[in-house]
Amino acid sequence: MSDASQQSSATASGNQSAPSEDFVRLFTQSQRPLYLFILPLVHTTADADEVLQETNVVMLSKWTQFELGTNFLAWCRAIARLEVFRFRRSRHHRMFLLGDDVAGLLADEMQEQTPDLEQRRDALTECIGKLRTQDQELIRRRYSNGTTGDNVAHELGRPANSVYQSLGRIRRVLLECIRRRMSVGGVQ
Amino acid sequence: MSSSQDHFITLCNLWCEEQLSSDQLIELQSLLRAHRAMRATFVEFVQLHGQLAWDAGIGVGSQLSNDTAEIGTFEIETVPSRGTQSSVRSVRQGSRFSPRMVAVAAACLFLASIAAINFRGTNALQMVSNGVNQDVKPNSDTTTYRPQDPQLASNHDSALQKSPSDDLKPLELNGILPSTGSSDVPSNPSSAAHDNVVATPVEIPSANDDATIIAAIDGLIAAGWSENGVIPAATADDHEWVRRCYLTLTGRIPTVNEASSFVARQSPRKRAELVDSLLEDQRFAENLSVTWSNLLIGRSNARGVNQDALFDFLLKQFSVNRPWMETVGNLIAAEGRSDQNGATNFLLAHLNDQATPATAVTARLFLGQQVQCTQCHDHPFAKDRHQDEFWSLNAFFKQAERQKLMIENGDGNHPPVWVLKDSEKSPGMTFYDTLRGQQKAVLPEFDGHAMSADDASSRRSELVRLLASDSHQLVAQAMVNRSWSQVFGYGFSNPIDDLGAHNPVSHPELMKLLTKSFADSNYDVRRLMRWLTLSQTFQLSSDQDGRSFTTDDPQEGGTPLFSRAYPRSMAPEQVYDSIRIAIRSAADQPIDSSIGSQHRREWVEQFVQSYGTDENDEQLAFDGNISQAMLLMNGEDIQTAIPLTAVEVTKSAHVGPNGVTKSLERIAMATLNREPSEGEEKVFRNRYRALSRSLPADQAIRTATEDMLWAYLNSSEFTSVH
Repeated sequence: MSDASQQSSATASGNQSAPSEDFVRLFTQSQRPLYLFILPLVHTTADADEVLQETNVVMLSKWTQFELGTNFLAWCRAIARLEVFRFRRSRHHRMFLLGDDVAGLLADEMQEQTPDLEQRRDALTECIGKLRTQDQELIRRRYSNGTTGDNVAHELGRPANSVYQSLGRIRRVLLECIRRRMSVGGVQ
Repeated sequence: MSSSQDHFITLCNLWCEEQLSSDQLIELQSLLRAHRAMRATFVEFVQLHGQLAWDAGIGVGSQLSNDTAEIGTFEIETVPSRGTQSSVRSVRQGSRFSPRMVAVAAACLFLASIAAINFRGTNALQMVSNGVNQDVKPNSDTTTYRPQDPQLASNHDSALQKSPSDDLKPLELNGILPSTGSSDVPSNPSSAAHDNVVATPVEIPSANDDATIIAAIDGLIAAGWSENGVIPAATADDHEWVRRCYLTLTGRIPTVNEASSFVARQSPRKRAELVDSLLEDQRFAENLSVTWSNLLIGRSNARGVNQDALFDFLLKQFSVNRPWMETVGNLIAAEGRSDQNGATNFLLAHLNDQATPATAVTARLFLGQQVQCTQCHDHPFAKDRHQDEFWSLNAFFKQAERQKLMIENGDGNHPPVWVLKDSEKSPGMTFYDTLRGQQKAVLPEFDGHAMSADDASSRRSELVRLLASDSHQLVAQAMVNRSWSQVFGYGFSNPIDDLGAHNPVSHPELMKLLTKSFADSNYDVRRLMRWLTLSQTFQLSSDQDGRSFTTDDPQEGGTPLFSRAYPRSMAPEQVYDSIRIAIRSAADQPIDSSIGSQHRREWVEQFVQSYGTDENDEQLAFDGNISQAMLLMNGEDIQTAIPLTAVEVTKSAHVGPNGVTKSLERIAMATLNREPSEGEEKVFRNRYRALSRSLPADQAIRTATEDMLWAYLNSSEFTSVH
């Protein structure tokens, strides 16, 4: 448990009342968008998980500060952003971490993002359905239980490079596919 | 998708897989910083990755369409505070503390330990040079490094003192000094040593910088002998030495007159005197120009550049002993017409295929590094050599452009004229594909100095500037190693142009010392050659005599200890010139010095096959063996020259009492620069006697001489440098 989360917990202990039903519903719906907001700023899915937890703690401790009717996602992204940078400070040595300035720019970018994550997710589901079976299988293996490309390569007995290559190709296909669907959706 | 966008997606993919190199991370960041559209794409892409990760464990395909509400069913009642932690975590099925975390920690530990090793390594090297400078006993606490510890050296003296050639005992450490500060050097140890043993002692000038460096070479080479228990060969006699000296410095054997006047000379410093006079000789400059022209554009001139203009440029540089760094810089940054600025022809020959040959050849020849395989992937053995380094070197050549010039009133027989110049604008980043098919981009970078993408100044001039200030002095090191191998047959590394941490060198301290001295001398090529040819090592005989052969045999793959001269085949140019010298000086005709002539070029080209590989390389199908020599000698000029020579040699031989012997001596001296052996004399006399039965004496001796000249020229001894 990092110092940051202990601090958060200490703050949280100041408020004992349980969150309202409305808050819980919004909170629940925010989990995926928050995760997707955090991930580009911290790099690994494990780190994104961790920051999401810290963010949740803060959100739940400060739930009374949220005014129903205002933008919930903006509120919790602001909290997540603080948690991200708190986390980043404690892990500044971590490899592959983008610089603070770049992370800031990305966070800005995402805060202006149109809330189309749900549609994107639906598009993704359809696009995965159109993949060849073996590609679907590869994606399933890669993303099941937090494995890495290396593990998948090991399981399949394939060179890691070729697995990374395939995964890269599939993600590219999915990206194109989602973009097509989103643009069609935009016309509608 | 455009190629730059495609490349960017590749970076995004690598980022998702945590496979970015640190350089790629820097690249990704700079792209993200600069382009808002790329930030949007990055977010889009990573969120796609995140969607998949978030749904991990739920499954993909049809199951993926399950509503987020499913996730929302977790028991939020246990709110708040600490309880939340565990309950929220239980929702996510991805593993938080994945093996990845452990792997990262392990990798960090690993990196830390590597850093420690590197640091120690650097430290040891620094201590060597410090030790050399400050007369400090160097670094005795490491076992891997071989210190020039006087104690250690003296322990080995006993072994050497048993041998008759104890003139080669290791020098004391304080004799090994860099080219600066020499006041406290003891009187030249190597010349003193020579006086004891050698009949024709080799005097090496003392108390100047050159003497100090030569003494250092001798000391470090001798240390290698004593460490390996090798007893060096005896000093070569004058005949053997003068031939090797001429071949090494002028690229051809000495004439009869040159050899015999050297042998007859009485000066105790005659070897140094000969070296000095040959270094000043135009033939030395011509020899280097031939060698470097072959290295730079190849013998076959497959790209059809202006060979003569390049040769003239090199000759101009070597004739007045311009610093090697200047020559390298002129070649790399050359601009102008191929017929007016000969230096342009180097790059004009290698700018094909996105300048990848230019990159590979530059790295190999000037930096002593083989980067051509890192064009497509990280170096398989050299962990310090990555694909991006190839392309960041390549990027320096991306501004260079060549154009074919239309010449007015040409009759079509002129070789094409090309113009080499830099484009006005910056070529931006250089893109390349990894083996994984990912596209990457780099900027010109060398020795940690990068040019920005929009910098429109001359990239090649910048590379030249960076080479001159290179912290590793790679240009000096590569030239030292190549020159050493040209003089001694083997370099410090094998192959000579593949220097790096992955490829251990035979004499690291010596290579370092020579590199520094060469750079300190302002890349003085003549002085470098002087140090090498006046070192004790160059004085040694190639006579194997059983002594050092068993333990010092690089031909069998051993590390060269340079305890004898290693015999090796002549280059074809050396064979050609040497045949001419042999024939003409046997006939006592003047040597016309039309070196680099068209005829020799055509003759040499018979042996060359060029390949259109990434390095524009070629294969020399000449190994100096007898059958090849036979083949090559069927040229008409030689067919007619040899009988004429025999006529000249034997003009008066049939009248004098020693006529037969003198004829043989003359052709032996002309071809092999030595007296005929007893066996050769016997064969020759038998042949003469047999011919005498059917021919008049003058014809018999002429025919026998002709036959013997053929035999000598076809001998493996003639076509070797030994």
